[in-house]
Amino acid sequence: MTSILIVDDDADFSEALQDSLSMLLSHYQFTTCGKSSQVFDLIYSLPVSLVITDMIMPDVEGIEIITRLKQEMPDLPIIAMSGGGRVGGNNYLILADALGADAIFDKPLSVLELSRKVEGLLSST
Amino acid sequence: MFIAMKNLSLRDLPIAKKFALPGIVYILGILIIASTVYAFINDQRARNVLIYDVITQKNILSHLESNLAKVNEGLNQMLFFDSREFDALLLAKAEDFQSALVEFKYISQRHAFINDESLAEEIEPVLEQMRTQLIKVVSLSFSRSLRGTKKSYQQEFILYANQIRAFTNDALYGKSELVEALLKENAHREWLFSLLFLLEVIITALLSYFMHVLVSRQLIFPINKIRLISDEVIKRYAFMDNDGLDYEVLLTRLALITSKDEVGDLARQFLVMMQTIDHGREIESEKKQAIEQLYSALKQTNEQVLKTKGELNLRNQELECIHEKLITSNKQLEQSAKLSSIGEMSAGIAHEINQPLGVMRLYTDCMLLVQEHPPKINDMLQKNLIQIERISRIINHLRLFSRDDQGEERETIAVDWLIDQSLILISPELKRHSITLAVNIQHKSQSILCNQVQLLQVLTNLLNNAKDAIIELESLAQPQGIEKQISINVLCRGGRVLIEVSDTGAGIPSSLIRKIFQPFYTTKPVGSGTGLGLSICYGIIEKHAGTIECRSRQGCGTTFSIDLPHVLALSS
Repeated sequence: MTSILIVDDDADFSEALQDSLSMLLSHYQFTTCGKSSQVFDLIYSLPVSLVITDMIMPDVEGIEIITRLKQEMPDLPIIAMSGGGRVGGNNYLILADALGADAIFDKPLSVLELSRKVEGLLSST
Repeated sequence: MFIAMKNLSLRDLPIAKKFALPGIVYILGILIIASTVYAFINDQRARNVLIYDVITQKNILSHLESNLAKVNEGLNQMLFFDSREFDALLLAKAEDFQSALVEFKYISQRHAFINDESLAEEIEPVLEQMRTQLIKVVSLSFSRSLRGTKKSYQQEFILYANQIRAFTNDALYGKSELVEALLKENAHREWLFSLLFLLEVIITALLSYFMHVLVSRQLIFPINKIRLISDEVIKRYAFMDNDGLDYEVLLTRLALITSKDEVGDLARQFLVMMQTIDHGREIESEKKQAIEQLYSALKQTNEQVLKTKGELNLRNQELECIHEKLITSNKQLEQSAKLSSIGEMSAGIAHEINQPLGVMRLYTDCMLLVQEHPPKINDMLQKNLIQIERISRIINHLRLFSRDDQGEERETIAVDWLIDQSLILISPELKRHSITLAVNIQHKSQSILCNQVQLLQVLTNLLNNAKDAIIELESLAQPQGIEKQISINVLCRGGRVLIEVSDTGAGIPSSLIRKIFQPFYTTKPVGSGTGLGLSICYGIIEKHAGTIECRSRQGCGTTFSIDLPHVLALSS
C-alpha cells in the first residue's frame, strides 16, 4: 500500500495535517517526514504515491526536493505548501509551481481543498 | 689754562660778540699804538721845543757875545772915534741886551727843566748895570757930556763884558751840554719808542691773529660737527634708493657755491643733504602712499575677511542646522532600520506564525467538516476560523512590506484591491478612534500598472497621516467634538486614475504645504514619524509617471490627490 508522504520540519503541523487528512481521506495512508534529508531514502524505501512538502526547511529545501523528484520520478505528484517567505522577488510557491509542482497551497490551508486536490491527483494517475 | 678759561667764556658768547673780540683786540692794539705814538710825538715835540729853546738861548747867548763884541767895537768907535752912527746901534744893542735877557728869562721860565736862575741872577744885574751904563754913556756921548775917561768907560764895559762872557761861556757850555743831553735823550726815546712800537704791533698782530684763530675755531668746530652730522644724514638717506636723485640739478646748485672753505663745504654738503632729504622725503611719501595703499588693501582684505567670517558663520550655522537635521535623520534612520529589520524578519515571522495558524486551521476545519456539533459549537468554530483567517490576512499583508525587491517590478493591479489591502491594517485603528471611513470607487474595474508594495506603501502612509491629523484636531478641538471622517475617492478621468484621500483633520498651514513633500520634514516628534513618508510617496508616484498633490485648510481637513496612468486590466 502506497502512502502519501508529508514532508515538513514543523512536527505539530505534520501531525495536524496527518490527522486531518486521515480523517477526510481514510483510505489513504500517510507518512510524515520531519527531516528533509531523509526524504529520498523514504521515497525509495517506501512506495510513495504523492508527496506533500513544505518549502522552507532547514536541511534540504523544498525546491531541491521538487527539482530532484521531478527529475528522478516525474510521474510522482507533488503538492507544495508554504507558510510564507520568498526567494528573490518571488513567493516560494510560485517558484515551486514554476519548477513543476502539481499544486500549491498557502498556509494556513483549507484541509477540504487540499483533500480534494489529493484525490484529484491520485485518481488521474 | 688761560686759553682754556678764555675758551670757556668764549664759547658762550654769541657770534657777533665772538667776532667782535679780534676787533676789540685790533682796536685796543691800535689805541695803544696810537697812544704810544702820540706820547712819543708829544715827548719828542716837547723835547724838541726845549732843544729849540735851549738852542735859542744859546743863540741869545752867542748873540749876546757877538753883541758884546759889537758893542765893544761900537763903543770904541763912539768913544774914540766919535762916530755918531753907532749911537743908535749901541742903544739898540742895549735894548737888545735887555730884550735878550728878557727873552732868555722868558724861555727859562717856560721850561721848568731849564734852571737859569743863577745865571739870570748873576747876569742880570751886570747886564743891567752895563745897560744903564751904556745908555748913560750913549746919552752922555750924545749930549757930549762924557766925563771921565773914555777908557774907563771902555774898561768898565770890558769888565762887564768879561763878567758876562764868563757867565755866558759857562752858560753856553752848559746849554750845549743840555742840548746834547736832550738830543741823546731824544734818540734814546726814539729807540725806545721804536722798540715799543714794534712790540706793540707784533703783540697786536699776534693777539688778533690768535683771537681770530680762536674765534674761527669756535665757528669751525660747530660747522665741522654739522658737516659730520650732515654726512651721517646723507649716508642714512643714501641707503635708500638714490636713483631718483636729481644729479643734474644738484650739480648746478653745487656749482653756485664757489668758496672752497669750510663754510663752502658746509653749504655744498647742505645742498647735498637737502637734496637727499628731499629725495628721502619723496621716497618716504611714496612709502607712505604705498603703506596707505597697503592699509586700504588691508582694510579691504579685513572687510573681506569679516565678510568671509560672516559667511563662514552663516555656513557654520547652516552646517549646525544640517548637523542637527542629520542627527534627527540618524535617529529616524535608526528607527527605519529597526522597522526595516523588522521588515526583514517579517518573512520569517510570517512563516513562524503561519505554521501554528496552519495547525489551528487544520484542526478547526476538521472539527467543522467531520463532526456534527450543536449549532452554538459550530458557530464558535466558524468564528474561530474567521479569526484564523484574519490573522492570516494580517500576516500576509505584513509580508508584502517585507518584500525587498527594488521596486522595479510592475504589475497590473486593480485599484479597489489595492485600497482593500491598504485598509486591512488601518480599519481597526479607525474603529478604535471612531473615525468613519467612506470609500467611493467609480469603476471597480479600474487598474493601474504599478509596484504593488510601493503603491500600498503610499496608500498606507496617506491613510496613517489622515488618521493622525484627525486625532491631532481632536486633541486641540473644543469639547463639542469634531467630524472625524476619512474618505477615499477613486475617479477615472481622461485616461488617468485619480485617487483622493481626504480627512477632516487639523489641516496644514498654507505656508507649510510646499514643505510636506521634503525629506525629513515632519511635524511629529522623533520616533513617532520618520518624516520620510510623504517624500517617499512623492518619489514612488513620480516613478510611476504620476503626480501627487495636497490641498489643505487649517482646521478643516486635507486632501491628497494621486494621479496615475490608467491601464486596462488583463484578464487574470
